[in-house]
Amino acid sequence: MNSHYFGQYLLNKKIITSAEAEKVLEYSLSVNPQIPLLAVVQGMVTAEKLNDYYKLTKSEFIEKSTLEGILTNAQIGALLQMNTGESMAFAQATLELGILDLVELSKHFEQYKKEESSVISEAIDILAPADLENEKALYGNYAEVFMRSLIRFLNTPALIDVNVPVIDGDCVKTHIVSQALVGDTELVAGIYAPDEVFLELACRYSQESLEKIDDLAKDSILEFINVMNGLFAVELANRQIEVDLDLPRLAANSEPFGNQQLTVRIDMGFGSFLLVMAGDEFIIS
Amino acid sequence: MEKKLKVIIADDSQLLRKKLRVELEKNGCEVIEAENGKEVVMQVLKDKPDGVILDIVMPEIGGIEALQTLKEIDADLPIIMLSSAGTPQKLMTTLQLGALDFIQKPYTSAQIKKAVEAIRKRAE
Repeated sequence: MNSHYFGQYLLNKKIITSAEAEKVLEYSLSVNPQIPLLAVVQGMVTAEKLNDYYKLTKSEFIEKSTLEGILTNAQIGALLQMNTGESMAFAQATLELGILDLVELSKHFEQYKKEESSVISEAIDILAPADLENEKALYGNYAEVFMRSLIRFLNTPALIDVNVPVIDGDCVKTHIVSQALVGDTELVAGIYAPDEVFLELACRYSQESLEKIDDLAKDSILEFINVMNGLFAVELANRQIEVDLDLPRLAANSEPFGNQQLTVRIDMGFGSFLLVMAGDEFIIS
Repeated sequence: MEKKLKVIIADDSQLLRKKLRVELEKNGCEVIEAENGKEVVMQVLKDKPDGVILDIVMPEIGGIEALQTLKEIDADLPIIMLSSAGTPQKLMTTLQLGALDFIQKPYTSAQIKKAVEAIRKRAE
């Protein structure tokens, strides 16, 4: 079970709304998981025992929990040194924003751990209309690789919004990138983003301070898509599905129009873009 | 003192060439850049490098075709493939065509260091 996608699980199951998810995501960028949450997730103590204490400050909580024998110093030490993933920051944010309490959070996290199917594929399943029944599995697999790549290469937590498949507002200034994978299966995939989000993604991938969408910024996103599609091609190859990558393409202010197209809104803490998947080229020049 | 190896990077990504140049120069290389398969063939003929790091998905002439051409020019030229499309089939094809090694993107510093060492060994 991939622990990065607890937020996606909450959204898929409609435990939180899209508006709450967006708020939590933004807030989660500036929080660290605290000891009460970690202690419950690690099974050291039940959520019921800590539900009245988790809002205390760190020092107050440590004092109270050791005095009352709820946690030992060794346990607290171990929790303070833990490496935690995006899921824990998301969970902590839901607590601090008062969207869920510790008991509710703990219950949902236990259920999340038990679910066998990928929450990302489940999100695609929710979003894909009936006429994309044949493409659902492929798009779901692709989305899994894509979301992993966002974390790995762009260092951003992200959620697939299962309720709102379009970008808000008037996207006058946008950039779109696509790349075709051709062979035993056909897939064209890429992103469609407002310029400010496109630029932020480019900065993150290139690890450069880019101030405008210049050649380096464009190249950065093209390379990100290329690397990610290569990883997907390798995954397919491991299942004896051979594909080649075409040259990636880029355009400005051009909406995606492809056949068997599915556009999926990806929310991050700093903005949103569309992941586009289609059966053929969706950048119409 | 080790001789500076002359290495050509052939990749259509400006970002990749920029980052890889830094890695190669850290490993004592003199770096020449090419943006596509056609350019890398011209550069090899002109500059007689010690080695080439070659992408596959490129405009003009792709990496597989470029690899074949480069091997016809110089069968002993060490060529390291560096590509996103690191499927077992691509790996086999490029090694059969004479590539020295295949690095799947994204590369690590350790992989580049190892590639430089492999090129240096061939150059000696």
